[in-house]
Amino acid sequence: MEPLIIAAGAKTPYISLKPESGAIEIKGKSIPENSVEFYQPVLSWLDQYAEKPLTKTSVTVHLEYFNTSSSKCLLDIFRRLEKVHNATNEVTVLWLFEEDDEDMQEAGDDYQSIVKIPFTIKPVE
Amino acid sequence: MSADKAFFTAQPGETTMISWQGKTETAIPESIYTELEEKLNQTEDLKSRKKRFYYIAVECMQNIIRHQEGSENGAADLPVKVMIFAEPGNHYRIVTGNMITPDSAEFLKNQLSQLLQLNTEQLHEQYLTKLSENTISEKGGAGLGLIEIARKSENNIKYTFEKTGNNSFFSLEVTVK
Repeated sequence: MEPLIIAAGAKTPYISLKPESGAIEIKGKSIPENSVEFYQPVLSWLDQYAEKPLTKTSVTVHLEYFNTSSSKCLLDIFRRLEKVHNATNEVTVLWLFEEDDEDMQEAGDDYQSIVKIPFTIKPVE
Repeated sequence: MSADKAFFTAQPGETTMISWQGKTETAIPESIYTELEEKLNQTEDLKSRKKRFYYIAVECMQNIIRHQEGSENGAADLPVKVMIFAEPGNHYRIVTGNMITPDSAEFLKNQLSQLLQLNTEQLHEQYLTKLSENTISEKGGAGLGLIEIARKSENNIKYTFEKTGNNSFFSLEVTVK
């Protein structure tokens, strides 16, 4: 399986999905008008990864902003990872936010309350 | 001065940050998002207030695309407006205006009047419920935009619908304090 790397755009985040290490990273800004179209390759990649995942998958999300259209797509990503997280395979999410950004901290709390994957919600300077 | 004209005019103490006018068929240019972000970065103010305003401004501008009347109804030349005003240290205000169909006007009227009756906690609950539902419209909307605009602005929303021909000009004003 090939890694998927998407460079950051003016309205879209940097995304890195690496099958050899099980490391997934989403970083930057996610405010495209049509998030479904943007995140489709990521969701397809995760569907394929879920068929034969590593025993440890670590997800890092460090977003500065995301629009409501992206918030649905992020949930879709977590839902797919929720299926990977079981007795054999572990998925962890590290949700990073700027230390004074209460809205982004709350967004992490919101996802943690919806999906059954362990989250670490941590401020960064 | 009518309510919607007052929305689009700088009030005492405010400066104009962004003033853009286009047509229904013109997408809001990417440069507006960049320009707004740069201007906010240059403004001396609470980072949390600037960030929250940027978030709301993005939702308001993208809300236009989701609800605007399209050229299939002969509305390609109708105006779309975005104005952003700032009084650093006090508030930021965005006003958007666009033409919508009677159906959209009805939908927006109902949704806005219902949302404005809810407190922040109730809006958060509604956001979580909608987020968990598995629906997204063909225009990429998830029904979350107005909820978040109401929640993050603490219901500092005003709006008007002005009947123009078969359609309505919808003006939405959101203030972040």
